[in-house]
Amino acid sequence: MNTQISFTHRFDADFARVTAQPQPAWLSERRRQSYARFQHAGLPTPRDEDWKYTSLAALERAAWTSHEMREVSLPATMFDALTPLRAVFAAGRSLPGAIAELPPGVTLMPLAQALAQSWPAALEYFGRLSGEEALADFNSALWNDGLYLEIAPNVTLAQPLYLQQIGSAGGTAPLRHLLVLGANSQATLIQHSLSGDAGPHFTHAVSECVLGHAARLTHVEVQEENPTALHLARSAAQLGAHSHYVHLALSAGGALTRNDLMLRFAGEGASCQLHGLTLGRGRSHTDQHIFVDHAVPGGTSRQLYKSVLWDRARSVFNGRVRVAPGATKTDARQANRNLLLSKDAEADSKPQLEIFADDVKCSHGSATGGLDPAQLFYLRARGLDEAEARALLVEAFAAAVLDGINAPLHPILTHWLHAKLEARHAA
Amino acid sequence: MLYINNLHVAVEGKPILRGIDLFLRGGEVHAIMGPNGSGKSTLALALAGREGYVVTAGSVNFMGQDLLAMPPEQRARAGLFLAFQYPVEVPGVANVQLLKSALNARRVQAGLPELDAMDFLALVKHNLKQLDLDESLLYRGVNEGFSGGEKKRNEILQMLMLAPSLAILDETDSGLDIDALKIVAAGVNRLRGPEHAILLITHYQRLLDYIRPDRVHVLDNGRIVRSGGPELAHKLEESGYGWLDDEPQPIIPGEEMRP
Repeated sequence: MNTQISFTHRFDADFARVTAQPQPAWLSERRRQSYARFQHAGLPTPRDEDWKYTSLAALERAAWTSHEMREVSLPATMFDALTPLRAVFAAGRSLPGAIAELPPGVTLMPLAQALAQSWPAALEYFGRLSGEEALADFNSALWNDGLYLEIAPNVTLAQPLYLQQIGSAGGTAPLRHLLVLGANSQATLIQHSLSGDAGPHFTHAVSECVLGHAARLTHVEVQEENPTALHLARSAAQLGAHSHYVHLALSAGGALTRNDLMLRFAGEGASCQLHGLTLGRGRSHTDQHIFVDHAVPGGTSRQLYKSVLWDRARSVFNGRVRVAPGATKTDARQANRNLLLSKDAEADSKPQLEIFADDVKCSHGSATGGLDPAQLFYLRARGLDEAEARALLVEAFAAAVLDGINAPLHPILTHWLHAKLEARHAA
Repeated sequence: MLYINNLHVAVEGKPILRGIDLFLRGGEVHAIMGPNGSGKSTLALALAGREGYVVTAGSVNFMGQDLLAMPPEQRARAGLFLAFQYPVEVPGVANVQLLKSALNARRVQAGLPELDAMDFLALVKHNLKQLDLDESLLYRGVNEGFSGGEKKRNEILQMLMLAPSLAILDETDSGLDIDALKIVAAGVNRLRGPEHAILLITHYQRLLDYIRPDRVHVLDNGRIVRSGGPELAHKLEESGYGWLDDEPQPIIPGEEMRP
């Protein structure tokens, strides 16, 4: 592919291919509109306020193709112990694999199929939550594969839905998922992004989650792609009354990671816990970009975003909270904590509180620094050597983001975190 | 056990300790008293190896080793324990985890095998009971959200677990009510024995009603200006520290000065 072609036209062939696939006319028309908007807007640049700290130049420099991965071996993962409902996407295409028999009240199928068969909830919510920002349009135009999960009211899906997203050198293929949880239903979604090889690839995934009345969803994204990968993810959720949404973003790989998370309170009395952890090394750049929209009264949101940075790594936290007029009794808290373990590491923090209602509780705090010398000395004065004391403090700092994740997932992620940090300390 | 010879310590370039001489034998309990700012805590932290406490002259020999050449963790493993005046909160590190790591670091140093989980738990439960501490404190972050009294008792818990050769208690009595003080004192008295020396740093004589020292030293302006028996503490209690200035005395090296 010729990199002289501007980025916005570089995907014309892919666009022609995805629109040629059999699909409802409205869907190909919507792809066309999205693609036109994307081409018109172009990629965001640091001149855009939402992209002030994050440059997509690396994305623009490289050529990307949509190609099939050959000989994909399915790596065993830590999540196997959960016997999840597993779906594997290699370079954006689902691999044929048996989804185990589904419990009654649970619908799981390719998103394209759900739209073609006009599943009402799929039609109602598809594309409604993710916004119309250029990269959302990019995905809406070009998404290649993805899943639709619908859970009937009062049904608990005990097994997590586990989506393994494997990238391949030079490859891209946007993924699109939609989850609709009926009233009082419960589910766990795990999105696990990996690299199938050492070459750079471009992962683009958008997921939309709709939580009905009092529904509960735990949504974990684990990103451990190779150090050259580019990863743009966008998750949007709509919270029905009294629903509870737990989101955890663990970012431990990639050269450039941008996670957009958009939360909209649609019914009163809902709550969410949004946690994120960046483990940055080398020259990695990781941007956690959060928008919580308290559109109705009585919502509770808790944000905790942390980063641990080595080398010349950089993290960005942009946490925007909007409390709409009339959204009284909103309780929104936000904290950003960054641990710099190298003098060349950098963390940027940008809280944005936009409060248009009275009788609300909102707070935010941000702190960036190194390990606390008093804590370090205390542990050493108890006989722990310096390296051990440091490792213990780093892990304690990082593991706080796992609070609120329940067993059996919690011990698996604790173990994962320990292994990641141990590998780093040994490096 | 501990032989401090002409110790000078500066903090941020400012001389704080200006020639400390002190000798502790195994089995002895010495108290160091003195007004605020006299250098008591500086002595404790310098002995424990806190960064920024710069030894500008003098030497410290601990059980035949050059203490000042050792990093803090080596001092701890060799049997020196500091009960902190302000115990540090370490959220996310479970109290029990620190106790286990600390104990095993010391055992490995002593050529002993690590304690198995059952024996460890039995030992820690026994000590918790002695200190009237709730077992739930084991599973919380180190000192995280502990009350002032719980923090001080947690220091004593660590001390009893580690059974140090030399325990330095830096104002462990401050902020304790009388019941907590008695519990802490009972804990310290349990450590007493020929294998253990104890250095009590305190502003008040009150603690010494429950832990009877063999020697009392008065620290003022970075020097030991008086040394004597337990009666010296009583005199300080009655008359305060002011009389020290009125009665200048040459420092008479007592028997504690001899190595």
